[in-house]
Order: sequence, then structure tokens, then C-alpha cells
Amino acid sequence: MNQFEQYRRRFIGGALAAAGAALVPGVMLIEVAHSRAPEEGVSSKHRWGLLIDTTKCATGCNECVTACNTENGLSGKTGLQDSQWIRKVELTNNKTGATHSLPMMCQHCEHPPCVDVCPTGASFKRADGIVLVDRHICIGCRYCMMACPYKARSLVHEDLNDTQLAHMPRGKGCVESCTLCMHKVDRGDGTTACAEACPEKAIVFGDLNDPGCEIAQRLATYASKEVRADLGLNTGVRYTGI
Amino acid sequence: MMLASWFKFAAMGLMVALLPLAQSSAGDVPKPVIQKGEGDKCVEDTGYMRRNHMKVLNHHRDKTMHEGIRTKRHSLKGCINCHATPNAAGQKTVLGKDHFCQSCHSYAAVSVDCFQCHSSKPAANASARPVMPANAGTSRHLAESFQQPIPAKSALVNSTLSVKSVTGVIK
Repeated sequence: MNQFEQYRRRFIGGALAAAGAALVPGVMLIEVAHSRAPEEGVSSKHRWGLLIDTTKCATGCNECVTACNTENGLSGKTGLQDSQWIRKVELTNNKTGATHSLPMMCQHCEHPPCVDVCPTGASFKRADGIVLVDRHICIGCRYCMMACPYKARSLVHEDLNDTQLAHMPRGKGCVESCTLCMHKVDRGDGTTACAEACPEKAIVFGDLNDPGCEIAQRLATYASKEVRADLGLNTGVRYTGI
Repeated sequence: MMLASWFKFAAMGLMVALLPLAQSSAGDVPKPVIQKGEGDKCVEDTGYMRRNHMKVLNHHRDKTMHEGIRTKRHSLKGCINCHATPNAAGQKTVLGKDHFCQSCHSYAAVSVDCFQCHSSKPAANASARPVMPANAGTSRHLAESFQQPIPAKSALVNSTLSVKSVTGVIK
């Protein structure tokens, strides 16, 4: 859906909602759909995100990283030139000695710097807030890797020799990062591999725009933080307990 | 001088005489042997697909990548699920000398780059060949599918996929 289409739909949606409210106060004519048919495109009605409770996240636990690697066919190596979509980060307060452990992945910003700097338009944000790389357009220049404040992106340096999984094409010379398990989201699984795998249920996936969703309710109830909130990127991944 | 020109004519004559012989001994490049995939027929006419499969795939690719539209009919995964055939090791694939994509691409001397990134093997849990709507294979249907990138809900979709409620799963 292009930008004009989005504006048009938003305008028509607003007009319809106003008309509905005028006609039948207190009754919703059309229920907001939560699931999507395969022929239906993504819409900005949803904004997918994660809420990570760092008080539950255990030091040394790597389950989310392993699950991500398995789900997406990553090698699991952690060298300088290996793809890592999630990194476990250990934080220590130097004064008190208190430690925190948390997973750090693409934060799926509303205003993604990686999209701003991409010279080809390969780096883009889907209407539902998922930030992706279109590998068909990516030239591997790595500007986005430099622009990302979270170090979330990796370049594939070596030929993968047909070891890719059918649902997750990856290739040499392209930048890649967490896709928020978009293949699962599109399928309607309503979760991500990392959220499923977390033994402490420290990662919650959901729709930030849906007030009925667990993630939105938690965000409304408890204090949460964006990492580097000072940058004003409005991240889709939020943390509590840091 | 005279001798040289006579020699030249003789040589040319010999070449002309030998030309058909040379041609027949070289022979044509052998036509590719196209292994039959699964299913009765392709999602579109064979002739149409031979010429336009990349047009169809690229169109679907952009719709899927940028708009999250995941209909199965024109998806590359669907192609592979039908057209992959077992290799010597028993692994189903579309790549390799006698396999579906590569045999024809070698014949036409066109490199096939899809599989630098995409898997050439069907998914382990590949349920699925594309489901054929009633008017499959007609040019009318194809024209419709291009004109209407987001087609109305059809038999193609609701018979194959169930979509779970997102909120239901989270709760």
C-alpha cells in the first residue's frame, strides 16, 4: 500500500467512524479484525511489538537466541562476521553492582534510522510497524548497520550454500536483522520464536495499538522504557525493569 | 598469381561443400528434459509460464515482501513444492543438471539467481501445492489477478488456510 492509499484509507476510516458514532451511539458497526486473510495486506491498524521484562530475564540463559537461530536458520556463531539477530546483553551498575540481563534485537522503531539512510529503499517499515530489509533491493552497503543505535543488523559475508530455510530466504551480500518473525505474524501465530521459547515468559509479543492486548495493558499499567528514548525513535520493543 | 587465385577458389569450393557436413556433425543443443512435477497442471498455462514466470514471481514477491500478502498461487515456494524432484541423494530440489529450473535455464543460457537466497528445496512441512481456483490457467484469471492485487476472498484462500485470532493466542 502506498502512502496516498494509506492517507485515503485513514480519511475514509475516520469519516466512517464519525458517521457510525452519529448514527448509533455506543454501538460499533464493524468490529476491528484481529486476524488477516492471506490475500489481505498488512495495515497500520496494528503495530506489532515486544515487551521484555528484564527482572525475569535470567543471566546466562540463551533460550531466545537459540530459538531465533533455529527458527530463521542462522548458524548460531557469534564471530564478528556472523549474523546475530538477538544478542543477550549483560548490564552492571558500577556503583551498586546490580546486574541485569536482557535480549537486544531490532527495536522496530516508528522512525527507523536504518530506513532514513538506505540509499536504495531496501530498508523499509511495513505498515504494521515491522522494520525489514528487502534483499532483492539491498546492495550490502551497510549504511543501515552504521545508523542503527542498537547494533541490530548483520551483513551476510559468506555464501550460505543452500542451507536457508524455505520460509526465510537469506543471502550473501545482504543486510539482515530480526523480522519480528513476520512469517509467523502473517500466519496468525500471534507470537515470535523468542517469546515462545522464553522459559520465564519474560518476552511478550502483541499489538501495541490494541488496548485489549496483554502487551498494551501491561504498557498502560507498568513503567516501561525504550532503550535510547532520547533519540525519539518510538521503538516497538519496550523493556521493564531497567 | 593464377595458381594462387585458383587455389583460393578451390578452397572456398571445398568449404561450401563441407558446410552441411559440419553442421550436421555439430548437431543442435539437446532440448532439456523437463521432469514432470506433482499435480495435474500448472497454476497458469504452460506456454504463458515459460515466457512470463518471472513477471508473475516478481509481482507476487513485491506484494509479499512489502504488503505481507501471502497467497499461495504465485508464490515461489508453491513452484518449488510442485516442481522439485529427488536428486541422487534423494533430496527434492529444483537445482541440478536435470532438475526443473536449472535444466531449462542451462538450455537458454540464463543464470538463475533466485536460489542464492531462496531454498531450492521444499519446506520440510510443505503442505502445499497451490490450490487451483475454478478458472485456473485462463488468461482471464491472470489478467484479473494483476488488475486486482488484493483479490476478493475466494475458494483459493479459505480452503487452505486457517488464521488464528491474534489476541486469542496471546491471552
